[in-house]
Parts: sequence; structure tokens; C-alpha cells
Amino acid sequence: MTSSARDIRGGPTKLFFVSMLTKDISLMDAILDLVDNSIDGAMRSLGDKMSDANSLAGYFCKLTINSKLFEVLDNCGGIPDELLDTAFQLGRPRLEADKNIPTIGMYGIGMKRAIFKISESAGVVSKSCTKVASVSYSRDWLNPDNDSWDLQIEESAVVDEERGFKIGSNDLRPEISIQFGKADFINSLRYKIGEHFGYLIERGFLIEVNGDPVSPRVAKLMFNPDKNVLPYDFSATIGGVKVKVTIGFFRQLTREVELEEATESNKDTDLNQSGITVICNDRVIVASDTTALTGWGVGATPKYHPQFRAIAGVISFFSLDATLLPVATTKHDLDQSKESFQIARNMAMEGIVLFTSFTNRWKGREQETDAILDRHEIKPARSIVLAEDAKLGSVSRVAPDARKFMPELPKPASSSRVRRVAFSRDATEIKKMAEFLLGKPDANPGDVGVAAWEDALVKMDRK
Amino acid sequence: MSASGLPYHLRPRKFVDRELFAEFVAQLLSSEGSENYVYISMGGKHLSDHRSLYRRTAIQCLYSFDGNQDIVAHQNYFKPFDGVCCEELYSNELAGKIDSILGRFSKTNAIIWLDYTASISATQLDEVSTLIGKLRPGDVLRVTVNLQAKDRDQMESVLPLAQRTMAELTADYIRNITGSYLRETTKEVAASRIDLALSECLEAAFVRGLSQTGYVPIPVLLTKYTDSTTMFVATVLIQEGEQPQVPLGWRFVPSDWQDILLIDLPDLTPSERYRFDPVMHHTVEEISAILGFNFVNADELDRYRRFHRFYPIFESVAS
Repeated sequence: MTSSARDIRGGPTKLFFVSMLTKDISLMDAILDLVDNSIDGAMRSLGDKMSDANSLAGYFCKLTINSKLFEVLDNCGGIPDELLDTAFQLGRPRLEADKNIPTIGMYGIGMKRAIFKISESAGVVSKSCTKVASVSYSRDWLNPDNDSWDLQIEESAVVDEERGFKIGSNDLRPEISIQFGKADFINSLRYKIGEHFGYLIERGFLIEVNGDPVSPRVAKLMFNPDKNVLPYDFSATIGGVKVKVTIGFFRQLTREVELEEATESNKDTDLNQSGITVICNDRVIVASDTTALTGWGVGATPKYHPQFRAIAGVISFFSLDATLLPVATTKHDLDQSKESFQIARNMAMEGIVLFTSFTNRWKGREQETDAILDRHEIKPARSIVLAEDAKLGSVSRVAPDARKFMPELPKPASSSRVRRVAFSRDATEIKKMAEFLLGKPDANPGDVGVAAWEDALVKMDRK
Repeated sequence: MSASGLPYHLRPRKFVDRELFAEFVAQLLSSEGSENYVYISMGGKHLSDHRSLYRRTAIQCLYSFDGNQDIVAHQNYFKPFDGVCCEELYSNELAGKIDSILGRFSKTNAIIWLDYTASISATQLDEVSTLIGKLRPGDVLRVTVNLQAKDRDQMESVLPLAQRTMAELTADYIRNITGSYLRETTKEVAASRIDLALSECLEAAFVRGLSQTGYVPIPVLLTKYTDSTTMFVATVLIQEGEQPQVPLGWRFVPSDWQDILLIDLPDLTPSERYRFDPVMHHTVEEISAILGFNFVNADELDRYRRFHRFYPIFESVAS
């Protein structure tokens, strides 16, 4: 055969994007991506004012979700003219497009991927200051066998004051329609939105699902200088990313009876707020983590245990260049290879050790700490500034501008000589002892153990 | 199943609640046929609910389980007849055993009662969710849950710090122990309506558990009563469609998950009831005139009449 050369197609197929790419993301995460885009719009609209504490007040993203309709509506400014032509492309041709916005979206696929996942056809309308632009993703366009990537954009003049973005579909994929019809799905979505965007909701951004505002779930820590109960705090700039780590107590210490219950049930609930939350540009990437991901059980740091339920913390990353953040492409996982993440995790481990040691020092005397861990002295974790306080924080050598604050937590007046005595005995024996010592055959085994010990002490003293 | 230590059959509110359930099962089996069903529950030492269902429904296949081998031994020795099977099993193991229990008795459907005595928790709700996922149309699941009372300090000690009203605190406390089973939109739970929150959690557990099968849990009886704590009991019939297909004669179908029947009996001795029953058909005012003093109010009279035929009587207690 004589050699020859010819052109073949090396580009992507519609099938890949419409059917395959959508498998990489869960339905819930796809919806979160759309809310995220609204927030980016709000940030763009704010410009210089975006760092103010309550700067997102007045902006909203309203979701309408049921078995027949999916709609996302915001008032966050719409797509700027200069981004209009490329906003509907799959992938971002210029990574500088949102260079000065604290976003976490980098690759320009969130909106499109969500539309492909949810609907058989959808419409998008953007209302900016200068024009109204609408694009329709028809069934024919979304057909994987149709390899045309051309979209028609209709543009017209602005006729009202609304500035925002709307995605709507009443042509849902059948399997999505079933999910959207379930109250449990909507409930889980609400909790997830409250967790993922809690810090942005606290800054005033309103997110509604089917007319009901979502409540934020954010970390708050005890802050009581008078009683020396302050969080561990660290801040630095690493690899172009502002890093902050704050660890402390958010409730009173775990009691014995809670530990017994935890042993029997063996798990915390899915809304547990103990553990470390990782935030990138105000979005929660990982919530209430109690695994090695945030340092628990790594090296000398204790593994998470219900004894440590009172401990919570936040690792926060901020950068106007989203590519520097330790967030994976899905936006719901971490890039653990980034130096900023590795240093932040090490600092979190320092904080965890500090507070777990406190619980060990006061073990058996948890009730005495109630007066110290005053539940009225609380502050949002992210508002706490201790490391950067010139009088309180000190230099840390991990990075050029790194500073750290290590609180001197209260210690028991006498070092605790309390030790835990724990053993297992046959249930029939326990019942007999309970009847004999307490007159109550179904008394709590812990109470029976204490009664038996005290009885033995009395006999010992008499000898 | 004795939460308080009192023998089960001497707790009148629980007795009435159980009799209501037995009546529903009797009506269901009159059309479905008792020969297709096995009844499964933690019968306690006295197998009271097994005896009650046997009397009311003629259901012959009765299965009791308990994690305590002494209770199982007691059950096996004193069981009313040989058709009652008593075994050692934990509640979280039941879901995996349903098929083998049905197979052992060669039955197609199950009626199951999970009676939790410990305060409600996500673990219980997970068990319920897992169990209902194994059930099929025609099966019945009944679950009893409760919330043991805590004061403000006790609830706040396990929660993130915040300023809260008592109703907000109760909602956050229940959410803390049940997780996302309590709706995110439930921000307050009044002390007098904890049953609504428990109903919400159970509904979520049922729906979650059946989400893979597409079957629907139709509430057929929702009750609440107070022993030492507020007990809430939900009975659901598993169906394929949303339209309830409950027995025609069953009058206690709730309109929705908030329509909860209160079982609150006036505190009467047997001799007082013996003397009151002949006049109970009169109005409140007429009763007061006959007795010579104010005896019951309108609500109490209404409840007395409504549950009258379900009250424990001497013969029921003696058995």
C-alpha cells in the first residue's frame, strides 16, 4: 500500500459533552454550580465593594424546582457584553475573564454541564445594563447525534430595570423530573445550599428554593478573653493565596452519657457541625470534616472521637485568581497537592491538638468547664482576628508573612487525677448488682459501676 | 416493649393505641386475607401485641424478636401457642432477615411494628429507612418513637452557640439528633407539638427508604399519647400509587402527616366507668346535672366516646 495522509477529526463530539461529561457531577452539585454563577455575577456587579462585610445584600438567586419545571433566576447583573460571545462556549477561552473576581469556577463548563444534565431543552436569558440576550438550547441542539455547535443568540434593547440571568426548562429529563418531584431531594438540596453558600448568605446574598429562603450553616466559635477561651488562629499568604485557619470550641464538652450513646449508635448525624470546614473564596468545599483530609489522625494528631465533639474550625482560602486555590475541577473537592493546602492542614493539626488536649485534661470533670465555656460568648469563626493582631499574634516561620496565635487555655487547678474506669460485664450480673445496690434492676450500667466502686471504697475505709 | 417498667397491658393509652392498630389490621386482612401475612415485632416478655393481633385478626404467623436472650427465653416458654416464633435479633438486623422470615412461613407480606423506647435518633431513623426499603405493596410498617424531655441547659450544651427561643432551641435540638430527617424549613417546634416534628422525621425516613423502589408509604394511623414522655406512632401501608387504598370501614385515616390523633383518656377507675357509661351519651351539661358536679369537658367526652370500645376491660387485662 502506498503511504498517504489525510485529515481526520480530532475534536470533541456532542455525545461526550451532553452525555458523558454530565456523569462526572452529581445533580445536586450541578445545581450548586448554577447558584455559584449567580454569586459570581453579584461579585462582578459589586466591583470594588465586594470585600465589605454585608456587600451582597440585595442580590438573590431564586430556584424553582418541581417535577415539571426547573428555573434559576437571579438579579446579579447578567453577562457583561464583552463576555457574551464566549459565555456560551464550552470551556473558557480566556482564563483572565474573571481574574479579579473571587470565584472558584475556572473552566467555563458549570452552566452548560448543568443544563445538559437536567434538561432535554432549556432557555437562557441574560439582562445586562446594555442588552437582553437569549439563547435556546433546543432538543435538536442537545441531540448527541447533532454535531453542530452553533447557537443562535437573540439580542434586544433593555426595557426595564431588571439586571440578571435566568435559566429555565419545562422539558426535564425523565429521571431528573422524578428526582425534582421528591420532597426529600428538595430538603437535601436546601441543607446542601445552606452549607455550601452559608458564608455568602451571611454576607447578605439571598438564596430561595421554591419560595423559601435557605438558612446559612456557618461555624461560630467561643470567644471569651476574660476566661482565656480563645480559638487558635493562623494567617499567611502562600502561593498567592490568603490562608486563614481558626480552630476552637463551639459547644460545651461531651458528657459521659453522650459518649455512651455514641458508642451504641456509632455515628454522628449527617448535619454534625464538629470538625473542620474548608472554604475557598467563601464557598464551602468540605464541611465539618473529621478525617485525615483535615489532619485528624495524622501524625501525632488524635483521630476524631465523640469526645472531641465540641471542636470545630475553619480553613479558609482566598484569591482573586481561582487557579491558585486548592480546589478540584468539580469545585466540590480539594486539590491536596497545593502547598497552601498542605501548610494550612499542618496548622489545623496544631489547633486540633491544642483543643483535644484540653478535653483530655478535663476528662471526667467536664461539668466544671461549663462555667468556662460560656455559651454566650460566641463569634463567627471567620470574623476572628487574633494571629494578625500585633499584640496577640506572633511570627510563624512557615511563610514570609505568616502569623499565629496559640491560646493559653484554662487548666484544672489541680492536675486531673481522674482516670476512666471502664469494663464490660455480663448483662445478668449487671442487673443483679443494680437490684442489689440501687434497688433498680434496669439502672444505667454506668451508675451501677459507680455504685459498686463507692461501696468497695466504704468497705476498704472500714478495714 | 415496656418503656416505663409497667407491664405493657396496664398502660391504658398504649393499650388503646395498640387496639386501634389491631382494628386496622383486622380490617385490612378481611380483604387481603390473613393467610398471606406474618406479623413481626418486639413482643416484650408478654407478647401482648401478638396476642391482641391473633385475637382480632386470626393471623397465625407471629414472629417476635429481641436482643435480650432472657426475654426471648421467657417468650418461648410462655407463648400462647406454637405458631409464635421468638428469636434473638437486634432491630438493625431485621431488614436483612425479612426475606428469610417470610420464606420460613411461606408468606408474601409482612406487618411490622418497631417500638423504640430510647429517645429518637438518626440511627433509629436510618434503621427504619433501611427496613422500609425491603417492604413491598401490601406490607404494613408501624413505628413508635419518642423524644425524652430535656431542659434548656441540657439542649443548649450539645448545640452550637446561639440566641434562641425555646421553640427554636427544640427544633435545633431535634435536628442535632436526627440530622436532615427534620426539614430544613422547620425552624421552630413548640413544646406541645413535638409530635409534629417526630411525624416529619418518620415521614422522611419512610420516603427516603422507599425512594429506590418507587413505592409509596400511605399513613393510615397517626397517634400520639403521653406516658412518661410524648410517644408518636405512625402506621403506614405500602402501596404502588399515591391514591390511598385503605379498607373502606377504616375511619381513622389521617388527612396528612400533621393530622395526628391524640389518645388521652380521662382518668377513671373501672367502677367509675361502670357508673359513667350509662350516661355518656348525654351532653356535658346534662352529665353535670345528673352527677351533680362537673365531671368532663367537651373534649374529654368526645375522646371518651371515640375510644370507648378500645378501652382495657377486665378480661383484656387478665389475659
